Amino acid sequence: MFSIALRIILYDKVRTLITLIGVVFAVALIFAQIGIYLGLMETASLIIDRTPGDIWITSKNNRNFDFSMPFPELKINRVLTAEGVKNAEKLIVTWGVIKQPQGGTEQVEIVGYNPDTGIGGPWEMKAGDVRDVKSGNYIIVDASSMKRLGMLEKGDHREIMSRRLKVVGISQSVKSFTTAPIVFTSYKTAQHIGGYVGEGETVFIIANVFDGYPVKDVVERLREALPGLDVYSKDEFSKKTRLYWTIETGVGFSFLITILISFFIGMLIVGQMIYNSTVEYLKEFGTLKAIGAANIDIYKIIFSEALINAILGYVISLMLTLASVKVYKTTEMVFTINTEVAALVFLITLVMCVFSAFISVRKIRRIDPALVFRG
Amino acid sequence: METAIEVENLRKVYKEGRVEVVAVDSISLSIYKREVVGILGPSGSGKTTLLSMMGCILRPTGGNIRIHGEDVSNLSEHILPYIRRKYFGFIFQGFNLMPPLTALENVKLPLKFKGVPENDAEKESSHLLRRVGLNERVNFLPRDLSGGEKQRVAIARALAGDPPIILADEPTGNLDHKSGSHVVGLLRELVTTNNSCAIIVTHDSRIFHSLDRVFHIEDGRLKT
Ligand SMILES: Nc1ncnc2c1ncn2[C@@H]1O[C@H](COP(=O)(O)OP(=O)(O)OP(=O)(O)O)[C@@H](O)[C@H]1O
Ligand SMILES: [Mg+2]
Repeated sequence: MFSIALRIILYDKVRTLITLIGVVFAVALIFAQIGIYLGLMETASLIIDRTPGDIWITSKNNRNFDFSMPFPELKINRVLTAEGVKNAEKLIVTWGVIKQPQGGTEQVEIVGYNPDTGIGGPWEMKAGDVRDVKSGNYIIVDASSMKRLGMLEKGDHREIMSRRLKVVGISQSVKSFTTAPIVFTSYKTAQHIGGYVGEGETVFIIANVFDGYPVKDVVERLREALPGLDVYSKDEFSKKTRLYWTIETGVGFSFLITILISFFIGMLIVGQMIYNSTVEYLKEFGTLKAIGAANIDIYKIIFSEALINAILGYVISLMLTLASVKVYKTTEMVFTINTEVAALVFLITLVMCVFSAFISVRKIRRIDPALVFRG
Repeated sequence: METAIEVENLRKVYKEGRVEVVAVDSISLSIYKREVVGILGPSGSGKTTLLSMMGCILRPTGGNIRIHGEDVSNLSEHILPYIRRKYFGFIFQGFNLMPPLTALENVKLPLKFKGVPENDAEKESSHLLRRVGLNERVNFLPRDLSGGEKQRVAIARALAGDPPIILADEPTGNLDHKSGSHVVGLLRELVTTNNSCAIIVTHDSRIFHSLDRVFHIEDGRLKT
């Protein structure tokens, strides 16, 4: 029956073309929504994912990476003495206001890491070195933030919260979901900028475990040892941060709505075309019934039509999407497309097209084979 | 003689709003294996209606139909397609080919429904097209065939799978005398070799001489 469906699709060229355009639009839109959403989420947890650290320790009931409460840094001793912990490092994430050279201000996200280990620091340098922020009022700014902060070079000075800081390096591909520029500095300097984090306080402790110790077990152990704090595996904290931004900003909802709308529009277009085709082939389907086709044989034909449309439409959309990813790359946006996304969208396309064929089932069931004798 | 089809007091009443049309009125007849019979009558006399009831395409209003001894009058809608594909080869008045399919693919259709393997179906279909003289047209779409050629494709389709009963509604209508006689000759040949039978609705007096028996109907009744 598949070959009959293929014949019908090739025969009705105009209808097929219109249907395919509909499917391609719907599917490409779904691709774009999922790709951009995942790109945003990648940005949201970028520093967590890129920082070498198996375990993240935060203040109690913390909800994300970007707005976290400080706690006493001495807690690191409890972490270091826990069984299975290889090393632990403190990391500060706080906020500050930077003065623009031409007047005005911008808000910046300040990340203070230990320059000796570089844990929590930038991972890709365009100029300077991760260690250069050590012992002084030094900062590393990211190349991507220059749109907001103006051109910056090594040796430039900027003022954050009334403190004059020297740019000692330029990092690359560090972004925040908040879109605020990220400024790296030493842990010590970060403790004294802005007044949010006090002397002797940190915002995160990042720990690594020895080989052979399951991270899960060490997390459990640390949870018991640190009742006043929250302990997450890297993965948990990354997911938590993504979930926070997905839900709290409503971006998850708006992406979901757009995906649903695309889905239903696609379904409507395919459903309408298959229904039209069914109505047009009423007499032919009646003939098939008369010469011995059961309803199921004819269902197979229309579901195959839906399937063929799904596969063709999907392949075209995938190619369009892959081509447009290149365009996205030239802008600052992150567009995520991988095998999982491709598989998920394929599944969505299949469901969309196959469900649309159900509109015609009733019509087919009621076709009277005696139709062959009329007209 | 073995009975192929037996109908008893067969009746069909069409309801068009308040008007009732008695298309077939208490027809009883038997058709035997190896017979080629004709059904003759003026337009609107109920020939097609009778034929489609015998072919289990149309439900009778009353009466019984037995095919090879099996009573099919009250079978459910789900069973009927299987009865049709088991017993019948149909040639319709309007050919009824699938426009997107080639001549060969159209002939293959009933074999597909019967679950005949692709290779065998392909072989049998091209053989049948050769028999109706269309070996040059196997890959033509119906729109590229003449009326007579379409009719021959329809005939080949009806013969596919060697059905025990061939039901033909005006199968020679669009053919010239020679082709018409050829078709009836072909049916006759098949009926003898397959131990089947053929029922032909026709106006074509030129083919009468090759029919075993002719039933005349008028106003839905059998004339004796
Ligand atoms: N579906 C239908 N609904 C109502 N009346 C019908 C229907 N089909 C046929 N009829 C009527 O039943 C009668 C018999 O029709 P039928 O088609 O069986 O005649 P026929 O002998 O095949 O005619 P023809 O030689 O023109 O094909 C006609 O009066 C016709 O109008
Ligand atoms: Mg008729």
